[in-house]
Amino acid sequence: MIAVGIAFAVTMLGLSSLLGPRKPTPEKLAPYECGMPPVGDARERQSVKFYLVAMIFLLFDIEVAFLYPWAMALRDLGWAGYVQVLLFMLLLLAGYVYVWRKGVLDWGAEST
Amino acid sequence: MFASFHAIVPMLCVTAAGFAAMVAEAFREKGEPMPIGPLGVVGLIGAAVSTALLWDRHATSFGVVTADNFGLFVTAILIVVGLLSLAISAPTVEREGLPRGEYYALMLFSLAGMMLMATATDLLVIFLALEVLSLAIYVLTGIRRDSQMGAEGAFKYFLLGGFSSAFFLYGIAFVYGLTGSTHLDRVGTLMAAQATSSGPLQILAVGLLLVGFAFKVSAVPFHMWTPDAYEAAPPAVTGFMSTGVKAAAFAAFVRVFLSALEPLIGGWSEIVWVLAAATMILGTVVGVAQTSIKRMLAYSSVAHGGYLLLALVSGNDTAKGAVLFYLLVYAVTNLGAFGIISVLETRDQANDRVTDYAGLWSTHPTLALMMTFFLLSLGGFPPMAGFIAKWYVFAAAIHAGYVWLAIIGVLTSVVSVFFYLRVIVMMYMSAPDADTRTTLPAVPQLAGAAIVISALIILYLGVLPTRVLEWAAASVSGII
Repeated sequence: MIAVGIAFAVTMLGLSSLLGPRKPTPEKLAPYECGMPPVGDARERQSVKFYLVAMIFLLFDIEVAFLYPWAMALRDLGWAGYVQVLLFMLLLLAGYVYVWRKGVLDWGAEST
Repeated sequence: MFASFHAIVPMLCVTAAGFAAMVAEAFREKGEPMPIGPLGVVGLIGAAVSTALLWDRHATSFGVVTADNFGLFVTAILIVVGLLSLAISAPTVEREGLPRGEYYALMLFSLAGMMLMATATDLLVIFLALEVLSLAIYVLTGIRRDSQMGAEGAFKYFLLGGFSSAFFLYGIAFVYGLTGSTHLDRVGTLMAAQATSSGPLQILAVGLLLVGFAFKVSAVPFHMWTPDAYEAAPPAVTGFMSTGVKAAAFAAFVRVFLSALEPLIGGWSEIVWVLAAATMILGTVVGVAQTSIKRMLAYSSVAHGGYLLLALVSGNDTAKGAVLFYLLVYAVTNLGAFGIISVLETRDQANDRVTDYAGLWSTHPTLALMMTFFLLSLGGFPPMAGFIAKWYVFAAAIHAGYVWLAIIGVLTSVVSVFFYLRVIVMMYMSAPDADTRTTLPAVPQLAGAAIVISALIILYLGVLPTRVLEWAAASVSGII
């Protein structure tokens, strides 16, 4: 069965590359960018801020992801669970304050 | 309600100090001096007090962290490491203009991770602790941002460390697949109940976990990152990571391999035998050829990992006590030695070639004397503590029947004395080379005090080791 499947796939791919018509135009050879004409090379230098923002987004996104299950099990976990989540939030808050004061959230002029 | 937190109080103290350091840094004006280092000292004293209070209590938190005496002994070692590291870091941070809040915060977070690793009794928590300590150490390795060497060393360490973490996690997955649990004592019982101890799955699980641990304790052949990372980091950081990471990793290593995976000992003892022999031999032989003191101590650190593996493979209670004592002695000795390297460094020059130490006796007699103590202790000369530590490790190995391994240990230890003595000879018997040497800086008081205290500790442990040895021996009973 597997051999037949592989043989079929290989035959079909081989036939289409042998028999198919080829009319390359510059548009066809350009990388696909959602239908827009491409504006330049993708390998450009990105501002390092994007990485920071992505990282911080990930952190706080996960924070929220942790809060949902806690909210669902709120009554079962009781006060001990509440204290633990509070501690977790406080630690993240300290990180947030640090990030804020260090100017990572500062989107203004190019400053570094 | 709060009883479940008891076992993690030492970690909480250190973490709190780390967060305080981070927030303080956030509100620090540029160039404003702020006593952030002392914050860490406060946290560590809190951890020390809580460790003393938890002694003999067997507190457990959430079923995954157990403050048994074994874990607490390692926590105590880590507190000593932390205090000495903070003291020898202060002049480095000042001189290099390092971001002090981040530096101390990372050091404290990493210490908290190490403490967690030493007391965790669940494979997943051990993995978590491993990541907490490693991530902070990767950043600390490259904390000199303008140094090309720092970036290179940190990146190598990070890449290889990431791989080894993946191996470790994969090993945990196999253990879970075999037993349906990640909790160490459950794993131990279920492994013992299984019919075979050397099926392919068991070998995979043990092997993958072994790779993860062997990387962290820099055992051959997973030691490649060690010299580069140790040379690239500021010496104060190197002292911290060579001792703290080793203590934490060996604590978890002993816990996992001598309790949870003890039923499979037939499957892994030979592999660890080979690792131990290779680590001792390669660390020593390559160490002989080094011209930089930092790299020499890096290879010496590899070799010392080998002696600890020798104790691990012996596996009896004497050996576990010997591991604890060895870790303590090694931590204090190595921190002292790196403290000296750190105070002799200047902003532009590492001063870490062996020839830079020529004639140190005539310019800095006290430092030369202290360095002699540390090097003799690393080489295992009586009356230094290193002698007692090695003696116990070899005695445990012979007791367990690993005579050949003990012979390799003694021989490599003799060879290693050669490169320690070379530095000592340089310090006392060579005149400083007037053309090439730079003037060595004056010694900052705090770091000097830390170095003298380290030397006093190893002298004390070398001459009157009984009390601490008894503590170490007593704390291994009832380890899970």
